[in-house]
Amino acid sequence: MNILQFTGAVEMGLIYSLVALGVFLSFRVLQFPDLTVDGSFPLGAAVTVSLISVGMNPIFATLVAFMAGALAGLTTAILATRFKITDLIAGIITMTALYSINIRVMQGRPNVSIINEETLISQLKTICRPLFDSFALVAVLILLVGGIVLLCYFFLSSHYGLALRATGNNARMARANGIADRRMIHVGLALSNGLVALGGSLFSQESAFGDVNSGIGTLVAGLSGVILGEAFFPSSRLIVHIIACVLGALADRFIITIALNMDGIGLEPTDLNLIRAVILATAIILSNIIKGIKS
Amino acid sequence: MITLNNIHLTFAPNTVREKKALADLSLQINEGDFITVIGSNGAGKSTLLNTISGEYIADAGSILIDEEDVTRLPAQHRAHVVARVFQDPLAGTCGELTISENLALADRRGFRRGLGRALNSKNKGYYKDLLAHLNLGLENRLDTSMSLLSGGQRQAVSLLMATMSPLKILLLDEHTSALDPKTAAFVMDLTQEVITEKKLTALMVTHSLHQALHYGNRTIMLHEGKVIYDISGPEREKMTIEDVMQLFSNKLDDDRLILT
Repeated sequence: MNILQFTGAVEMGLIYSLVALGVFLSFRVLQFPDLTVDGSFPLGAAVTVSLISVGMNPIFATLVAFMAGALAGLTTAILATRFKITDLIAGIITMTALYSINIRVMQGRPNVSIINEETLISQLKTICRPLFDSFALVAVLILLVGGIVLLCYFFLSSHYGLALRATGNNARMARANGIADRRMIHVGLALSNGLVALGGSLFSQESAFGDVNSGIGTLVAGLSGVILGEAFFPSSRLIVHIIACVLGALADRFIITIALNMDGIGLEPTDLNLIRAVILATAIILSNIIKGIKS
Repeated sequence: MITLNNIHLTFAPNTVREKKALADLSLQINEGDFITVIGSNGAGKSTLLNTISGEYIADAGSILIDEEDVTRLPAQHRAHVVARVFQDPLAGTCGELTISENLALADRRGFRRGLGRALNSKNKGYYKDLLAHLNLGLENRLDTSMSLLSGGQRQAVSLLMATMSPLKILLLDEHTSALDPKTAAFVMDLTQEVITEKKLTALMVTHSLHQALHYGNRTIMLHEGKVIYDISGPEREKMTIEDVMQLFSNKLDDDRLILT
């Protein structure tokens, strides 16, 4: 792995750590297996590239992408709570609808290039270049992800966040303590998919390209991040849990980069999702074995 | 005062599995009452508690808690006046949260939950004092995950949590039946202590006739979703377990008469 591949892996790992944090919120905190993410990631990308390509401010485009993702999460949550559709099916419904919606967002095109436009990433890179040279993007992303990690931590350790965690852990107890469990699922899934869409938005700005197919494998990548993080940093402390998601996403990305660049096994970039699937399966099997040894 | 007027509740109505769980049940619970609830399986004891808590919504009738009509309110909107301890020791607490986080959750029952930090040195100190009263050594384990506690410890903490915030009624659903006899006695003594100390109004479902007569000031017996006996005062004082058994078997005889 050369230095370029290394920084590339760190950048992608940090962008996907937002996906891992989103998946952590739904799968772990709310214990709601939410498949919407495969649609909300490209939704974030589609909204961002569309708005930037018509000359909108990139910061504004990024914020709208977050809100679009939140709306997608809210849709799944309402399907599940209000209309009693099984969590997995509710997510699949929204995810499937989003595929078509994303193409509509990009005015009927399956992908849009913004190679000649200013993006949030390119702007920040320009600002940070004198300080960090070729690590400018890494530095920017570390600051951004660090900020989001802290926000997640403060949110989840607030009274409101505690109510959210209680809902996922024991909904009956939550209700008995006056917590509106359905509303917690609405808020939780909205935040989760907002984070994933933010990841999609940054992904599209980094690659200057929005693609409707970029969502396939999002959930698998995010979940790998969460599970790898738990395997490397087992702890009951919330802050460790959250940081472990980021480190897990980085580890996931490093394994992908190493696999793709390894001589002699002949993996192509199109094998990305095969690699992701193998990583997730291996991570789950290994963590089951570790649990088995412990118990 | 809590008033239940002509409560009806049917599970799976108009199907072969239709079950009338509560049938025209009326009950008046006076302030300071500690009522023990007995009855055979399927008599409607747990359903009664779940209907008062809002986990089930009555098909007909009304429930008033101090003049507030809560009949149609779901559980989370009654939580400011209703507190519960469940039969399952795992049900009343969050296993994945720490002891202090669980207490912080219960501390906010009936209050708005904002974005302020749930735990700070001030309320942790308060929780430490509360836990010290249990004499279980939990005051030194504030940051321990709830899942590491035994069933009896969790039930004691559940009871503490239920009675932390203001309440109009405490609902105890066979909350000692999943514990070993020694732990059950400990939790029961703790229950009596907290009810006396805080002058609470409580409803306790139990299968133990000894508990039913030994604790509280009033005993009701449910049968087929109705209150069939309501005993208090001197009449209850004189009552023995044998007398209660007699009441049970009278009821069964009646059923047999109907069947034949």
